[in-house]
Amino acid sequence: MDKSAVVVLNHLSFSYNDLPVLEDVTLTVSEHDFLCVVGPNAGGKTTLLRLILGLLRPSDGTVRVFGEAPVRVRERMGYVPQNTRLDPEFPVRVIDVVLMGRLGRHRRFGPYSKSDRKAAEEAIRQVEMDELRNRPFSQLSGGQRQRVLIARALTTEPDLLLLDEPTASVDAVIETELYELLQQLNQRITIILVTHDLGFVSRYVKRVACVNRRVVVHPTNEVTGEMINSIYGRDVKMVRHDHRYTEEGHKCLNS
Amino acid sequence: MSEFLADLQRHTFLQYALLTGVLASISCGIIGTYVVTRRITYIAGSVAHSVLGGLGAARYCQVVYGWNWLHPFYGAVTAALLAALIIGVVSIKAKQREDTVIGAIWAIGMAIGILFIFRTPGYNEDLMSYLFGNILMVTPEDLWILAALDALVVTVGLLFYNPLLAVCFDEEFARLRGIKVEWYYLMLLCLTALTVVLLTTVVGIVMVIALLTLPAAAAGQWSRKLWHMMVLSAGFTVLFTSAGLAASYGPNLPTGATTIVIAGAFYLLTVIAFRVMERFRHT
Repeated sequence: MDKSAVVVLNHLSFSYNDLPVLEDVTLTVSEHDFLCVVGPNAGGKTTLLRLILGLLRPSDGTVRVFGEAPVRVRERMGYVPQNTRLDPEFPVRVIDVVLMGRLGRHRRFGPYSKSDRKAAEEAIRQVEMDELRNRPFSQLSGGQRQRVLIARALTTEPDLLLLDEPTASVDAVIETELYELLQQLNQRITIILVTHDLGFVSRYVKRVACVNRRVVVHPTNEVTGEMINSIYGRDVKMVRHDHRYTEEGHKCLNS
Repeated sequence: MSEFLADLQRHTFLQYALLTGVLASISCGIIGTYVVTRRITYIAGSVAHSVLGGLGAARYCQVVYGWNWLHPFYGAVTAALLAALIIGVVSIKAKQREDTVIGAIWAIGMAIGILFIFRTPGYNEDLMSYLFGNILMVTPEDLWILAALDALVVTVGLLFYNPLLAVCFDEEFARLRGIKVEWYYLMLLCLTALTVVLLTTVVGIVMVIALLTLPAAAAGQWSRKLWHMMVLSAGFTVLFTSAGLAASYGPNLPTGATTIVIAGAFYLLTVIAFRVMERFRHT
């Protein structure tokens, strides 16, 4: 198997209570790739991410991450969830949240060590949140929270970073900064990003995976306005995704 | 009040009562904080009521079979842990049925307790003290058991502070870090069960939830960190149990109920004070 393949999905299907969410997905993400996952709501984007993380098991087909079952390599994956899922009133400070990334491989009980704190401080600096490190998480804006969650994922020292709609509650300026940060991280980390604002992100990512039950991968230089329309158009069945494609991406017939 | 202070120096039962309140407050502050932030108040309520089953069964065995070693506390601890584990396993395995099971355990535990107490020969004043607390009847033996439970809860609750914090804040992320989230959840429920048993001595089964959650909820408004909330909440609980004891002593009121009313009034005042302060800050 190709050694640089970080994520390999092979004829993967997933159903939720007999309702098919993903069907026959074959996809390879190589090292240092920056893959953007787009598609309509409830199209299976988050499900795809959760399958890669091993939080869900495929109904059919296989998921391999770094050549292993996802559960066995979770320590190498950093995850940035949608922050709307978290309790906004929970009494934690920025630094406490970021330190959570040091749990697991590094620590199970007792206090955090000096090196844990150093790693957390470093991650906070990287996302430019040093001045707010003692601020309660509940008092942060959406964009600031997102940065904290990214910092938390970075302290896990991941080789693969997965982000679920990191710009959902963020204004355009912060969004640009966020993508620039990711682009910089992409020099050493493979990134998979779920979003629905494809138009903006296409400057930064290398490939786009369109998810709507099936998955089709396009190199970003082929992403066009027409294609974006067809992904989000009302009659999704009209999208020409019936042609054969390879794991590496395909020629988009619309462009 | 002066009568209380004078009698406190004379009567050991008052000193025991005060000490019971302080001991229970420590684990109440720590575990109450987890319960409030993890939002498992109703599980704590159900566990508290199931304690009656254990108390009743143990008391029955003591009286009918002469098993004097079987202190009702042991029955309470067993019932509480059993209830916590059943609820925990059901909520992990079948999320949608969780509330049904919580309600069922709540009622079944009480029913079993009432049956046992009804069949126990002799004077049935136990039921009232189990339900509404009997802090003035604490014996030195009870105090030792309370202290041991307290030490266990505090040690485990603080030793696993970081993973418990992570599990309460973001369970999914904790799971991805390789933390056995299910085990920590069961552990938290068991610690809650032990704390509930501690608190039933102070305010009785019916009012446990209030003492477990009101101080933590009040403390939460001032706290930026989870452990601040724990310390503050433990402090509030010491204040409430001591004030409850002092205020109820003179007029001969039920101590548990007095404590809860004080805690409730304090909580309401902090909420109102906070709202007013927020209003001022924004204008």
